[in-house]
Amino acid sequence: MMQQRFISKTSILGATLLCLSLLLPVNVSAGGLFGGMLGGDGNGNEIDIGRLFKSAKQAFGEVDEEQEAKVGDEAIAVLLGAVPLLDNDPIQRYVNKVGRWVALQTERPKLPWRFGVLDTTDVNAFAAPGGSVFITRGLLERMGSEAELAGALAHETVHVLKRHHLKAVQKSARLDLVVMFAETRVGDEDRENLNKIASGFKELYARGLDKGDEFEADRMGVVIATRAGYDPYGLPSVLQTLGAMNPKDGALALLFKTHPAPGKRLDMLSVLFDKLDPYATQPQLQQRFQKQLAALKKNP
Amino acid sequence: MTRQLQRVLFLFLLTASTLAQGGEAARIIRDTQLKAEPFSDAATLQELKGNTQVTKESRKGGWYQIKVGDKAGWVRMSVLRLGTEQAQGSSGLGSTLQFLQTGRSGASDVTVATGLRGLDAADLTNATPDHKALEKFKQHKISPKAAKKFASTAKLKAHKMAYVKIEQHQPESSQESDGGGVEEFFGE
Repeated sequence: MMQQRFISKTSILGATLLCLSLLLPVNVSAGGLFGGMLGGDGNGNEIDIGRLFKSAKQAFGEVDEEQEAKVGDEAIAVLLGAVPLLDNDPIQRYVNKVGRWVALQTERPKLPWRFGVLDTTDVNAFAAPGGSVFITRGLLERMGSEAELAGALAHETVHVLKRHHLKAVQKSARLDLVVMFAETRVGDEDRENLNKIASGFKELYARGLDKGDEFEADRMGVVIATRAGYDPYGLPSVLQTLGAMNPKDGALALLFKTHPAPGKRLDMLSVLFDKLDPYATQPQLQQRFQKQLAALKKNP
Repeated sequence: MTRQLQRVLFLFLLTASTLAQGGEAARIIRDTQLKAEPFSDAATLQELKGNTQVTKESRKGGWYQIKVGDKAGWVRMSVLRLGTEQAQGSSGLGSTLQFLQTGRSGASDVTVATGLRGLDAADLTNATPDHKALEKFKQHKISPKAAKKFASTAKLKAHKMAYVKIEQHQPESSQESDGGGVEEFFGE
């Protein structure tokens, strides 16, 4: 473990641990912290307090935001290697404005949120660690309002908020990102490790997240879109549209392979409807959306 | 603009949008009541059985305005699914099975134009990471200030709202048509 290399003076370690214990959630076991940190190699490395804090966090399997962004870059490169961005600045800007507004209502408003429309007729949406969200042109063209777009983007922001992909790629590809990054000095480009991460994402995007993660993204997504002032029923409306499509339509193949069926998702979401009703008159913004869509269809 | 005029205009727009959308084939998935207005405590016009075919006319919040036989009224969004039965699945397995079915297609069936590219699992597993495209994507940036301005021009108002905690014991295999939906936990 990397953090062991930086520990040589137990007194400073003790003081730091005391500080950490005040910052960490109560359910974190102090035993685990000691277990991971004691027994340093004592080779006299200079103590870097910032690094020590980072290492303590890493001892619990959580990468920091800088590392999350690096993982995200590999994930995005994979996605864009499979399907290009739509070459249409006005629609990209519009989706970014909707998405950025929605992301401001989340618990991670300061992430460098970015949104992209993918140039494919396939119906789908994706997220990547660090604050990136993608929607396909095929899905966009089947929507009827900005509230629907906001609902779908909000669903994707939850995957970022809850670090669903980070957790899944570590589990499935047996990647210990913490160790991987600890072995790489800041500023170093460890291509070999980054390629392993890219491979993990190829499999993950093709296979999809756990169903529980998708249901959670639906539940939290409708709340986030509602917070942003949109009609709360945007995401449920998108699910209705998907459920009504012919499931043999090839444009749905990957979505249906990687997500629970739309009808099931609606069923799971319906427990929230009573809580959403007080906000049911919030705007759908059909006209603003239709105007953008018309321009896209006219000038593809 | 007077309040009355606003009301007339609203009704006009509502009617216009209803006419423009036309009816869409839909299905009631469990026993419910056809309401005179989009409220739980509105008068009940008719009892509806699960699997009843209806026509969806419009949506208002979490309610759909529908036509069934010679009656028109409102039902909760949770008890209606757009399209016909063949187009819908209640589970992941269902959706897999649907690919093997040869039933009618859904009402919103959209023909995919040929010659345009799709995206399947193999495209992803065989992808060559494109770092050039990544750099281009990184130019997609909207400042919080610009996003707020964008929201305010459409009168979108942000407000606080807590995430909704759900019962841990969700029925794993709730069937859409058997009336055993998750709503029962909340006594809808």
